Amino acid sequence: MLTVKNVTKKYGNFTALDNITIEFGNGVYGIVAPNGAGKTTLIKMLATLSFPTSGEILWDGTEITKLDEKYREIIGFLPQQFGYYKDYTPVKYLKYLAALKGVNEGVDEKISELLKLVSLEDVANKKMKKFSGGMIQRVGIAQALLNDPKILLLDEPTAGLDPKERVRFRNIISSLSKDKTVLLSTHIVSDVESIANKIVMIKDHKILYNDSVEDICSRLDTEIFELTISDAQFDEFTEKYQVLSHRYDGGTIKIRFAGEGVPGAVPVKPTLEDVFLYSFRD
Amino acid sequence: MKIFRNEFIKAASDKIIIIFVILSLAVNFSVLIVYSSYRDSTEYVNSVIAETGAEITPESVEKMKAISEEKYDSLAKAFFEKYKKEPESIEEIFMYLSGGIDDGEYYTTEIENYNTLVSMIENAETQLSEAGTGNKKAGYFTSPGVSLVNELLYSKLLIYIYIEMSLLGAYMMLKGLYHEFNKDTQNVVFSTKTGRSLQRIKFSASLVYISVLYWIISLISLTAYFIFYRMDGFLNLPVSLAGIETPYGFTVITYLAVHLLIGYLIVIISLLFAFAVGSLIKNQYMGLVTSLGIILLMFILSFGAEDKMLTASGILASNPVTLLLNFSREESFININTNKWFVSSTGIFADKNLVIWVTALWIAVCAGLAAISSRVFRKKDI
Repeated sequence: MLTVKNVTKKYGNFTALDNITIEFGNGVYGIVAPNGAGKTTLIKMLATLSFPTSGEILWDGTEITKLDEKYREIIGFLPQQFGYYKDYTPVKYLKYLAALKGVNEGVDEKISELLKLVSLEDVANKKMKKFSGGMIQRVGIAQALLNDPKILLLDEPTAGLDPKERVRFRNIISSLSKDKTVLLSTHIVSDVESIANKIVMIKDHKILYNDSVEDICSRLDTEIFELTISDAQFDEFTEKYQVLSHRYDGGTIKIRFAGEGVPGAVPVKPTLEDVFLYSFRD
Repeated sequence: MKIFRNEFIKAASDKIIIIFVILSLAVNFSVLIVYSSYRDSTEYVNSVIAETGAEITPESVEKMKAISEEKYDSLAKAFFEKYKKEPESIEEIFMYLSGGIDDGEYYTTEIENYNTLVSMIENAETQLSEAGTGNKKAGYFTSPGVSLVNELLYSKLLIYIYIEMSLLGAYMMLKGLYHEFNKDTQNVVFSTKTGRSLQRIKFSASLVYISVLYWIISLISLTAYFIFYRMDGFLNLPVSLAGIETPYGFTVITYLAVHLLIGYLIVIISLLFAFAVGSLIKNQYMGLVTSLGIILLMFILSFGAEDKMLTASGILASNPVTLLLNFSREESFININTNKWFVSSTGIFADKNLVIWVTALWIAVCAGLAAISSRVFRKKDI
């Protein structure tokens, strides 16, 4: 069990995270928040790349700083800014990281298995300088899995992936989550909606929600509606109601909005994106 | 071991380091030719002392006088054969023989060699007479060429090697420490099991690589020096004959080896210092400027440091370079701080093992700083 207990992180006078307490067991946790809310700060602390100003982070009851290498041995991390060595091939790069991760046995087999998993086996020995953003990101996913981690930390992992790759990635994560703690930080709600067991939503550097998708969505039950209006009514409507999305359809506009029902509006089941947009409205 | 090998290969394949090594060798070779005009006379002195012995004794002086007279006789004979008269002085011989079209150059060299012998004999007789009064021990035969060629070794070539290697060691260390930040791989690398220990492996790799480079560059430069300037006649002399009293009974060659060893320790001190700075300062340009600047300053302050030692700036001048090497004494045959610590000093400064204590102290200070920085780095936000 990974426990974040009363953690505050400050950079000078700026508070990036304010007294956060969360527990992570096995399963996928989607950490959802807009940019700058503190997602990366939380992930970096869990990856021991930065340390809490106050509070503690525990793995099975022991502080991760005390566990040091023993803790880092069981984590896999894909950072938001994933740097690589341009002149390295994926195989060379993964071998280097395997050595750093203390993986000494069956390295070659593990690397080919992972490269197959991320569909990079054909370019396993090509230099990465010619790789697309999506390919690099897939190398990043492979390196995070090299040591068969118990805790998988993924910071904006789908950035640069095309729709097909995103689906493939979601499936990989879903299959891995059985016996792992997977923390997936993103501001793209659809990345986690279908695979996360729990969503942690951060607002104003504090935890807003820490619940299952269904429970979070149920908070907006009876508050989300769809309505078709004319183009001329649109401006007036947006002033009165919080429009979550809209789509032009011929001469009319189909609107999804939060608020009280209006004549003609049809109540719809809220999605996580609705909650996100509603929670982080201007 | 794999990580060490990787870090070592990274350092060894760094283009800037390779260019720096080539430039260092080029500078060292160019320094060698500074006194090339003394090359022939130095070689001649060496050939003479091979017969007489380098140490000044009444017997060796007599032998040298005999060689000098023989040379004068041969020149006088050549003069007589050409001009059918006895020469009045060596100046007269020089005036007539050195102007010859075919053999002028040969006689010019011969007369210069003769003059070198005369000046060496005069110097030796002065030293013998002073030694007779009990003021000081007679030393070894020397000539202006020999003195300058010695100075070239101890006051230029070796110092250049120490400065080059200290700066290169520090640069290598910092380049290694900042590598992940430059390539933006710090988040991946430092979150791995051994990531936070990587700095220490980088230090080991830099230490091995700079050690290899230091000894190879020293060996190449010194081999070139001793091939270019024949000084082998002096190598087995006790350094005490050069007026350097050490309690160790070094010969010139062992002293040179100790000199190189101390230079090597200065390089290690620079490496440790750069490690400490690089682990603490996140900004690589700031780290580079701070480390290289302070190391260079240590060398700059050591020049003329003897005069500064008792002043306020003495604190700054009392850096490892100054304490271990005394570059300011150009008149010394060998410039390890012997004159300061072994001859003119008293109290703890006259301790037989002071050089060892000083070296050990500075290494301990820098190693302590490096260890603290390493610990700080392990708990530092990336």
